[in-house]
Amino acid sequence: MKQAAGQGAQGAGSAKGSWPAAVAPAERIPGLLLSLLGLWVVWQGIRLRLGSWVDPGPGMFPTVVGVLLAAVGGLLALKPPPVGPGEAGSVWEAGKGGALTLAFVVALPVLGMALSLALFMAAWVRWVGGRPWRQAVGAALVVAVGGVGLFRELFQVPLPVWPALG
Amino acid sequence: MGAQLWQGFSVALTPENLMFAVLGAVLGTLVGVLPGLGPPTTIALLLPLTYTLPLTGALIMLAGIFYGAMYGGSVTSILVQLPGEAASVVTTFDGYQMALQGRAAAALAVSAIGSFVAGTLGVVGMSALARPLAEVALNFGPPEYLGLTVLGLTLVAYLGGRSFFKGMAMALLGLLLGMVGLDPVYGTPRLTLGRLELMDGIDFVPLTMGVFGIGEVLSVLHEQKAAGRVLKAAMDWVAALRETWAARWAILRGSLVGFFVGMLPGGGAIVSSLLAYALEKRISRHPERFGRGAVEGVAAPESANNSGATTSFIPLLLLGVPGNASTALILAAMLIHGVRPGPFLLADRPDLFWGVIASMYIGNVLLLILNLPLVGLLARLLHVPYHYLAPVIVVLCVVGAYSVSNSLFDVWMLLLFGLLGYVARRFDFEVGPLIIAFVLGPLVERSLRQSLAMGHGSLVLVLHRPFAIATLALAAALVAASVLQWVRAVRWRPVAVGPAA
Repeated sequence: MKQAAGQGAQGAGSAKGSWPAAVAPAERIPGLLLSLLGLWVVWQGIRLRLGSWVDPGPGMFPTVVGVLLAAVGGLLALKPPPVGPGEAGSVWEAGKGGALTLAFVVALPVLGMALSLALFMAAWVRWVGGRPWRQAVGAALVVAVGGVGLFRELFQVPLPVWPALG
Repeated sequence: MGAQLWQGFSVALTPENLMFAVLGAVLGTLVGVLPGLGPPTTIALLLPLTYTLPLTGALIMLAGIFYGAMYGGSVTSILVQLPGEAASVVTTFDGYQMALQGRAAAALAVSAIGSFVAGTLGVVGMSALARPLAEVALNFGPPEYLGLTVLGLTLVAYLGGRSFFKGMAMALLGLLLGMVGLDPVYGTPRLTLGRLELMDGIDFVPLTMGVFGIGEVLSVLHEQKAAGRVLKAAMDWVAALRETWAARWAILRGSLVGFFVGMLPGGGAIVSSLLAYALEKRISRHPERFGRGAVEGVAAPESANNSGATTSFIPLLLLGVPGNASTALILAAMLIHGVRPGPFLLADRPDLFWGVIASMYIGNVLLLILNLPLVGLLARLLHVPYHYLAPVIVVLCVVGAYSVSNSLFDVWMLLLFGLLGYVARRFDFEVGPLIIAFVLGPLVERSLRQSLAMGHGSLVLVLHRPFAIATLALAAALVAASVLQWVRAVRWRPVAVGPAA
């Protein structure tokens, strides 16, 4: 998303008069989402009691902040600030890391710490890092043993070490 | 001041606290060297540890991590042109060029010695200003805190990133997240989506670990940053010290810039280093040298960022107002221990206050000892592949979040905020303002409520408080300037662009 948009009014060759519509639609999304969030918060705040300035109710401050957020979001949606030259990036790579993290969290209470740590580390080193299986397994063993020792034994985190049976 | 500082040294020099200072300095230097693991992330990862550590020791360690990272970040900036943390970006301009010219040792030496001098000056200044500032702060009431916090959030949004409105949006989002839970006066659930787990509000640890830890990991994966060529640092110390002496005035100027800018919310290390570099270039007789290996181009920003990191503790400890994400996290650690920083801290907990300041003196010496001889070893850490480091960070975040209240709900919150942190970075939103606003939010709301109560429903009272009116006016001016800039940028008349005459 950090793309070389070059959409500012000072963009080369554009002189004065760059209509906001020249902005890539994707750049407006954050502003729109923030604006919608702000409006939702205002609605929630009104549902709670607003009260008065002498005696603000529970909905007063969320409403104030919601109004400001909706306004700022609207400004960002209307004229997103130009971003600098972007770096080539891969949502796919980030997605792999995210998916593995999610799988780790799901597996942790079911498989226990030892197996979850080992599988997570092995999968990451192999799939995200692109390293051979030998390195993945080695890293998995180190992290599993070290993790159980650190979290369970030293810090007494009450997570199961092994799978819950039955 | 002398007697109290002596008391502070007696606290800081106990074996236990000395160990925490060494641990913090070492961890901080490692953090600074390793890209992708900044001071806020490391502090966030270690926050759960502070539950079990004594408060003084925990603060000494966390402070050590913060200013230690400033030292460590320069190593990668100089040897790899890859800043280990944000405040070292400016060092890459000239530091890497010096390394290419075979002057890496000089660059590293001037960075380490400059940081030591600046950090020491910063701590001396803090010691001298502590009591007068505390006495001023004792006269602060709700209107002053309202003005200070509003200005603080505005400055953080203004200075923290490329776009004021993006920074402000994140700050407002942080305020909202801070409101989740029970209303502080009426006890009515606010923004809890009907979840029982949110009645106590969003916990700080999953939020910060998610935004800084998981979010940063996903961003690094996305960008797939590869380290550049790692240059060797041939240690010609004689030449290095000669160049350091030549840059002594740049070190002093950078230290002064960092000292004052660091105290401002939103100032701190990054802005200090930028301003110091710009100043050196401006006053230099040969500005064309900058960007090509000018030793002043390393001395000034490195001194400034270390001095700024030190003095950013002033608003934190004396006013309870953090100026950057790292000090916001340290504030959270103090609140978890039931200690509220502010002007009363000096009177109520002088051992804590002066102990932390004294530990900074010690930390500066330790870091100078660590950085110069160990630079070769530190450079080898750059070879730790990220595919080993990243999953370890994720595991620390997941288990750390779980350990808050032994609930998987906090882990799911961690993942949600991790996604938020990633998406924010992708769209060029700074996450620092979100964290600072989250921490400051309760203070902002309380100050506003109390100010309204004092003014019987109006803020006219603020007009009779010079500090409050000055800070709010400055905040309004910043907002107005940003809006004006935005209006100018929006053109409503399409203009044909033809060939030049």
